[in-house]
Amino acid sequence: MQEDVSKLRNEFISRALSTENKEELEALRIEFLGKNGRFTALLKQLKDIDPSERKHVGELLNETKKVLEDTLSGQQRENEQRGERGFDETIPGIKPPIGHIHLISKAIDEISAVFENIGFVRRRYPEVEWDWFAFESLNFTKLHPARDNWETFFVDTPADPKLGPMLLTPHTSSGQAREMLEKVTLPIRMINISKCYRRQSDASHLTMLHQFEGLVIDTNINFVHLKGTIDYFMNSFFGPNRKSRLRPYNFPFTEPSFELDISCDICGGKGCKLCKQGWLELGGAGMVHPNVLKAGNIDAKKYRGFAFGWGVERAYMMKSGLRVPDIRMLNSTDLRFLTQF
Amino acid sequence: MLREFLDTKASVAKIAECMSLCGPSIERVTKEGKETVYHVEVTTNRVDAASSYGLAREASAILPEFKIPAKLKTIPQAKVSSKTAFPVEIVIDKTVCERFMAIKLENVDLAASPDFMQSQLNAIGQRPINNAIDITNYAMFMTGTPMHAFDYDKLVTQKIVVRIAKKGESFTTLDNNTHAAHGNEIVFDDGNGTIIDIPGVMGCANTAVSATTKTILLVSEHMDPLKIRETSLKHEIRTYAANLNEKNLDPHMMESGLLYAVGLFEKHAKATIGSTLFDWYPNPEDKKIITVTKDAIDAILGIQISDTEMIRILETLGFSLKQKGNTFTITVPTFRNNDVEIPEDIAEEIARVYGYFRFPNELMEGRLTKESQNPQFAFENQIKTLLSGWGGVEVYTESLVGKDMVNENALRLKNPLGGDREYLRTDLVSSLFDAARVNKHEKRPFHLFELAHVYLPQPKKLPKEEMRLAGIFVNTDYRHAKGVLEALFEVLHITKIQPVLQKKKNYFFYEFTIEELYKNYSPHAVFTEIPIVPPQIEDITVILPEDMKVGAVIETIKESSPVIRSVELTVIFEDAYTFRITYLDPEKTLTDKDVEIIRDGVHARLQKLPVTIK
Repeated sequence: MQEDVSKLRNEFISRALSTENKEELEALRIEFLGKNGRFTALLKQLKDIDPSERKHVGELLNETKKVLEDTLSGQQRENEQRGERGFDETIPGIKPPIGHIHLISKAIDEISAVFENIGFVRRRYPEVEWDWFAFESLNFTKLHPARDNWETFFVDTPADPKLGPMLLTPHTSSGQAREMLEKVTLPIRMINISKCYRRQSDASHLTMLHQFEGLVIDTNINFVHLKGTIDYFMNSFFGPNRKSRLRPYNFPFTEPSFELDISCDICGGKGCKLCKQGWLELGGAGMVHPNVLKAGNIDAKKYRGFAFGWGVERAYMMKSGLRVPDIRMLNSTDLRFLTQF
Repeated sequence: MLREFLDTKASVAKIAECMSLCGPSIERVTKEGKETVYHVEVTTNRVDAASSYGLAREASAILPEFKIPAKLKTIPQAKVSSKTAFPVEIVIDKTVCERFMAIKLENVDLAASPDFMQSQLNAIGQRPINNAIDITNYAMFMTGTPMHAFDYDKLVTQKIVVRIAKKGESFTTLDNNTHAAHGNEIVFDDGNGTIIDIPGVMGCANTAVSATTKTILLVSEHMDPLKIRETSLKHEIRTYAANLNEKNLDPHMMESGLLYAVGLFEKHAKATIGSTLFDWYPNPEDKKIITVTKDAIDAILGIQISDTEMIRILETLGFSLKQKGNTFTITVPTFRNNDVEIPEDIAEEIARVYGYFRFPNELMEGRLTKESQNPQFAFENQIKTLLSGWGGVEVYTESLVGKDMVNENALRLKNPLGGDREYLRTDLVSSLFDAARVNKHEKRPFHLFELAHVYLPQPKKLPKEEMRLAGIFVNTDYRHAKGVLEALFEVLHITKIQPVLQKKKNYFFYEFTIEELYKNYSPHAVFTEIPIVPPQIEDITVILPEDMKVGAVIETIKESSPVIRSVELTVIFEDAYTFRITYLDPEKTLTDKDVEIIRDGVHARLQKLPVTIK
C-alpha cells in the first residue's frame, strides 16, 4: 500500500509538470482526485487496512493529498504565467561560440582538393631557400632582376659554397628541383603549397604570400595536358561561368610559357578599373624547360613536364562575390575582418 | 604608327584581341587626341617587339591565323651616296662597344616637327621639341633603334673616345642635371677629357642640339647592356632608350633604324647627307641554327600542326627554314638571338601564333605517383576545424618581425623593407600578442590561433622550418580557455602531453610544435569493453586553503583506488570544491559496503593534505 501511494504521487507530479494549460491540468485532477479518481480509490481502501497500520497509512495519505494539491496549484500558476506569452518560436536562440577558419586556409583546402582529385600529391618545400633552388636550377640568368636586392629578400648569413646565398623564396617554383632530386621515383604529380616572400607591398601585392605550384613529369606529357589540367582547375575552382584566356609570356623555367587570365567578375568581362579590358591576371604556366629537368637530374630526352605557379590569395580574391578591396587585408588580425568569413 | 609598317584591314579591337592571345599582350587601347594608343606589355626577352615595326611583324604573323590578311612592309631607308669622308675620329673600347654607326647631316632646318609626328609623340607621352630631336625619338619608337643627335659644331675636337668613366668625373645631361660618375659608366669623351655623352642612356648638355644648330652628327651605338642598366639605375635616368639598350638590342637592326631617321631628316628637316656612313662592327654575331624534327615539335605540343602552317608561321616571324624529310634546319633571325635557343623555343613560336586557345583541353593519362598524401596536412586541417568549431578565430600573421619579437640568434634579412620586419620569427605567440592588441576594443571573450612555420637557425644549413600551433585567449577565464585545449587533446586522443596554458598579463596562451602533437596523436581511440555493471557516483566537498592546488586534490583522490574511474570538479562555492567521483569495477557490481571502504581510503589520503572534508 505504501509503495502504491508513493508511485502514484511520483506519477502525478511528473505528469502535472508536463502539462501546459488549464484543461490538461483539470483532466489530471479528475483522474487522480475526482470522485472516481485513482487517489480517491486509495482513500477508499484505507478502511480495509489492518488497524495497526491504519493510522500510519492515514497520515501518509493526508500528506500525499497535500502534496498533490500543492503541485496542482503551483503548476496552475506556472501554466497561467506561461499562458500569457504562449510559445514564441521567434525568440533568438543561444548560439554556441562561432569560430572562423581563415580565408587563406579555406583557399588552400579547396585548391588541394581539386588537385588531389586528379592524382596530385601535396607538398610543402622550404620557404627559406638557397639561391640554387630558387633561381639557378630554374634557368634564371645570373643577372635576372628577380635575383637582385630590390625584388627578393636575402638572409644575412654566409652563402653556401655550392648553393649560393640564402634567401626567402619568392615563388614555390623553388620546390621543382627539390621534388625532382628528393623524389626517388617518377612520374611526378605534385602540388607544392608554401609561403613565399616578395620585396613589395601594395593593394594587389603582399610581402608574405602563399603560392601553389603544380609540377607534372612523365614520359608522354605535352602541352595539351597542361591546358587540360588548367581547364579542370579553373572549372572546379571558379565555376563554369568564368572564362579564361592564355597569353604568351616569358619565364626562364618554362618553354613554351604563358600567363593565364580569368574574366573579371566585377564587370562581367566588360572592363573596369580593377581589371585589364575585362581580364584579371592569375599567374604563369608552361612546359618545363629542359635545363630545369637537367638540374633535377632527369633525362630531358626521355621525360617532359609542365608546371604552373599561382598565388593562393590572388586566386581566392578572384572568386566571385568576395569583394575584398585590398589584398593586404588578408593579413589583418582585426576580428571585425576575420569574423566576416 | 603601327599601320605604317603593317598592311591590314583589321580593326583596332581585333588587332588588340588577336595580339593578346598570340603575341605581346595589349592591356588597353585608349584614344589620345585623334590617335589610337595600344598599351602593350612586351616581355623582357622580346625587346625586338618593342617598336612599331616589331609589333607589325608580330601582327603580320598572327592575324592570318584568324583569317585576316596582313603583310609586313619594309622600313623605308635613305640612300647614302655622299663620298665625303666621315670627318670625326672615333676611338672605341672594344670591351664595351659592339657596333658604332654615325653620319653627318648638313643644312638642317631646325623647326617644329610636322603635325602628324607631334600628334603621335604627344599620344605616347613624348613631348615634341623640334624636328631634329623629335625625329630621333620618332625613329626609335618606329624601328626600335635608339639614336642621338649631336650638334656637330659643338664637337670642336672632331673626336669621340668611347671609354669607361673614372669615379668622380662630372657630366651634365640634356635635362640639365649634373652627375658625378660612379666609375663604371660608358661615356663619350671629346679627346680632351670632357664627357660629351652617356651613350645608350642620355646625351650631354654640352653637345646638345639647340636653336642655332645647323649640322648634326647622328649616332647609334650598341654598348654593353649591363653597364647601360647599371648607369641608368644608379643615376636614375630611366629613358626609353636606356630601357631598350639594357635589353641587348640586335646590332643588325641598327642600320635600318638609323637610315630611316636619316630619311626623315631629309624629308622633314631639309637636311642633306654630309658624309659616308661610319660603321664600326668588327665581329658581327653569328646566326643561330636550330635543328628539330617535326615529331619532336608534335610531342611537345600534343597536336599536329601541318608543315605548311608551321613554315608560314616561322617565316613571317623572320626565321628561315630548310626542310629535309622530317627534319627542319632553322636559322634564327638575329633579332631573336636573345630568346630562341632550343627546339622548345621553336615549339613555343609555333604554338603561340597558331593560338594556345585552339589546343584541346585533355587531362594526362598514365601512371599515378607511388606516394600517398601526407596525413599531416589532414591533421593540421582537423585542428583548425576543431578549434574554430569551439569559437577559435584563425589568423595569418607576418613571419617577418621586429628584433624585440625574436630569439637573439634569429635570422636577419640583409635587405628588409623596414626595421619592424627585419627578422624571421622564432615563435608564433609574439605575433599573437600583437594580434590581441589590435583587438583591444573587443570586450567579449575571443581566442585567436595560428598554424605556421617558425624559422630556427642551424649552422651552415637552412633554418629548421618548424610548423607550430599557437593560440591566445583574451577576456576569457582560465577554465574556459583551458577547456578548449583539453577538448582538443581529448578529440585527438593526445594523452602524453599536458594541455597547459601559460599566462601573461590577462592573456592565456599556448604554443606547441605540430610534430609533437602529431607524434602523440591517434586518429581513433582503442575500443574498451562497455561495462555491464552500473557505476556508483557520489559527490564529495572539500574546503581548500588558498595555496592548495585543485590538481593535487584530484590526483590524491584518483590515486586512492583503481576503481575510481573519474574525478570531476562540479561546483566551486567560495573555498568549497565539490568533486563528483565515479566508482566502477568492471568485474562486479560495487555494493554500498565496497564503496564505503574506498571512500574511507579517499578520506584518509585527503586528511594528509591541508584540506577539510565537509
